[in-house]
Amino acid sequence: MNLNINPQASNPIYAQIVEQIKNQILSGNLVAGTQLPSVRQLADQLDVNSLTIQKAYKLLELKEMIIIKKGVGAFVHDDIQQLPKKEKRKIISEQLTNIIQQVNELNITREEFDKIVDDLWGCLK
Amino acid sequence: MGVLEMITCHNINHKFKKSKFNLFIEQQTFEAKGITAFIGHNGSGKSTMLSLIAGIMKPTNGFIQYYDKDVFQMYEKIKNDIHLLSWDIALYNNITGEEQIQLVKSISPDWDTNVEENLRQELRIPLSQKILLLSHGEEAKLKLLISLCRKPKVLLIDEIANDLDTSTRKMIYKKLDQYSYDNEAIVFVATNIVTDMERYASQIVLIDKGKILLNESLDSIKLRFKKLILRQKENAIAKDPKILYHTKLEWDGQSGLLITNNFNENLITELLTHGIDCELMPYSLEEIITDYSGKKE
Amino acid sequence: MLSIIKFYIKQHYVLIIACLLTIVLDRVLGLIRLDSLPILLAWVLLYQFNVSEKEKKNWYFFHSLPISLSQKALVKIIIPFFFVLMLYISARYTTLSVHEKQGMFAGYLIKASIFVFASIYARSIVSYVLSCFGIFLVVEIVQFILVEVFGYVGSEIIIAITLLTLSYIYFSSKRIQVKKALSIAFVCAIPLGLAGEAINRKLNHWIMYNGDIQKQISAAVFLLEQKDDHEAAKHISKVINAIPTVKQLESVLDTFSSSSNLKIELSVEQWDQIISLDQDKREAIFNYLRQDYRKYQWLNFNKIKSYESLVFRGNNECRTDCYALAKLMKKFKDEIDWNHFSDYLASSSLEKINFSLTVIESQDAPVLLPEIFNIMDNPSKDVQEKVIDILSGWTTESMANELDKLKEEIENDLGQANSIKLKEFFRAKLGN
Repeated sequence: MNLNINPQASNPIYAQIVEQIKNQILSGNLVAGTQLPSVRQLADQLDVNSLTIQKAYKLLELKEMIIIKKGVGAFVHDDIQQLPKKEKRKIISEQLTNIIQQVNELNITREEFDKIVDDLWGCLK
Repeated sequence: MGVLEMITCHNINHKFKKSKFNLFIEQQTFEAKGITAFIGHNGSGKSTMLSLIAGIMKPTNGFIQYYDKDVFQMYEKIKNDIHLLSWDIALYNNITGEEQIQLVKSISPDWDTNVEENLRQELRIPLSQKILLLSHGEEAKLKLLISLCRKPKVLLIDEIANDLDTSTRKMIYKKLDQYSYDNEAIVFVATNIVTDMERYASQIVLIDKGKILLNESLDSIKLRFKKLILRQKENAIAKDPKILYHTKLEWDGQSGLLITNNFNENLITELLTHGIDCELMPYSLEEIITDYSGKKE
Repeated sequence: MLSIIKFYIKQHYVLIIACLLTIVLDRVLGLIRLDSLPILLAWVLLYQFNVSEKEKKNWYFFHSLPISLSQKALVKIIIPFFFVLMLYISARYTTLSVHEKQGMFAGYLIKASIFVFASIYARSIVSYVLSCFGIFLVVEIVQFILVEVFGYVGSEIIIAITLLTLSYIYFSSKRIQVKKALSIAFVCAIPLGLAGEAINRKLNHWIMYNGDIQKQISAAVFLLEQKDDHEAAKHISKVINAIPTVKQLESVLDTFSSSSNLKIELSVEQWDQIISLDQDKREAIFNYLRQDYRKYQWLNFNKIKSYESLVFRGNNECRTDCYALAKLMKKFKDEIDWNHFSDYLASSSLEKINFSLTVIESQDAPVLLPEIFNIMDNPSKDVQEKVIDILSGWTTESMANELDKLKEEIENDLGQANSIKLKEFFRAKLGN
């Protein structure tokens, strides 16, 4: 994993790390399930303190880009697809907004709607 | 579950022997894990601060606590937890490094032989030489070895790494980083070499003329101290920016420079409404400190 | 802890061996007569052990080691203290007499504790030297005050304990509560001091009754010097006859005269006996009685007169005991019967003449002038000079100038002619 950290840049180091790892994941350089270096290894490699690395990893975990397994290590999230979750949510939300509006105009209840979804889901899966 | 070791200072007003000013600290807490850098000019009070925290010097007024214990009064009880490495605490220089280690090891109840093994390998100190003949760097490494094997919870390093070559210094800081990470210890390092601290410190304490100007995480400092290049926006009429909370502002109508210690997104928005475009510049810790201490004159 | 002690022994073995070697060389081989040498070496050893560690900044490293304050104090205060004490005892003790030993041991305690305290307190060689002197002075003053209540031995024990406590306080960088520590020190020191003093007295009393005569005297004198010890006074009075040397007798008598409460308890017969012993002792006793005459009721002019037969040996020389008796007699001038002396002055015995003149000397008013004028011609120059001195003493100030002029003229040539001149002068001024 090639990261380029500049301690004198405007951005704090942890933010630079988060940014760069995120980009590598999004660009496909880091594939789902890849194990990232341990906190200590990365700290050693980048010549920065371990707490910064730890902080970066925790943030990435919050963003659900990586998963930290206690005692094992940090891994790129299995379910990561090309698009990040937010993006996915954004796309579906846009389409769903129209459907929900129509559902309301046609006076379909939520239960009826759910049933339609279930039926279609079963068919399409 | 990782309770923080707390060092708290209460109403310190300490007379230096040689200076006109006193060390003056109303209320400060040092509790960050990892390396805390004490940065300041020679004579600003760094070394004294470390000696006071270590409990070997009594503040002329006020007191410092390690948890609930007064560090000076309870020195005998806390000296196993708080170690000070400085040139004022010297090893016996007519014995060899090995003999020195054995001497301390034989009376230390909690000596960690794993740490000892690891440090012997990595620090590579010539242990069969008399300490008198060791270089500064080698002696610093020896002191470090002896101290770390006793697993202190607070380690105070008073500029003993300053006159080493870069690679040795880095090696020592890495060791300190590893140690504090693995053992949840605080390490205080007093130094003038800011470029090291940009990498290895998580907390920055800036001391100037006996006063603490900053006691803050490095990340937080980097988030609020910013240097921006300003440019007149295309197709816009730039008004003179009246921006609050700036430290330094230069604007000649078309371009300029803004240095602030209170950066947030609103600042950018406000600049835009004035028709000014801005761009974040690299702003090293050294520059931050120079600008900030200068301002506080 | 043991490893620390071993370490320090290895560090300083040179000086330690030097200290011990000088003692061995002196005691066993008699090579070095400087019994201060081991002490000096111990002083240097303490410098190296404590003070130079501060200069080399090892002191603070030592303090940071994981051993308790008490263990550190053991290494840096207690062990050196006992080492110095041991050196003092080995180097000097056996050269002392018995009673000196009792006194000196407590003195060693103080000296050892001064060395140790100075080495703990001082941070540099200069400070170490100055501290030793300074503390010594302070100790002298404090002892002067304490000795009234606690005696010599007691006060020394108390001071030594106080100094060691102060060492401990400074050793801990005053983290120990000073008032509390000093209070505890005093509370422990005072009973110890009193006990030490009591033991010392008991020891001396025992020696006084059980040793040979020399030791008895030494012990008794020691006790008398410490405090008004009536028991010792009684015992001395009993054995005063047996005191072998005049010097000892004199020292015994000195201690009596320096105390206002003590007197020699002898019957008149016993006094007579001791006075009849030998010339030098007699002289010593007369000199003593002259100083302390108020204590002895049996002393009067007649009694003193009765001793004249002992001092007049008929060989024309008033010896030391003769003069001493004369001076003693002078104290009783109110009782003097001057007729007694007119016979003496008229006699041909120089003894008696000199004796009489000594008594007459510095009397306020002239006595026996005719007789004195008569012996102005006495062939003995001593007598002539004495007479002139006596007569000069009786001249008033106004006469003094004339007298001086006359004396200048004569220039000490007391030949026939000149003595007539003087006679004329004195007769004129004083004579009736």
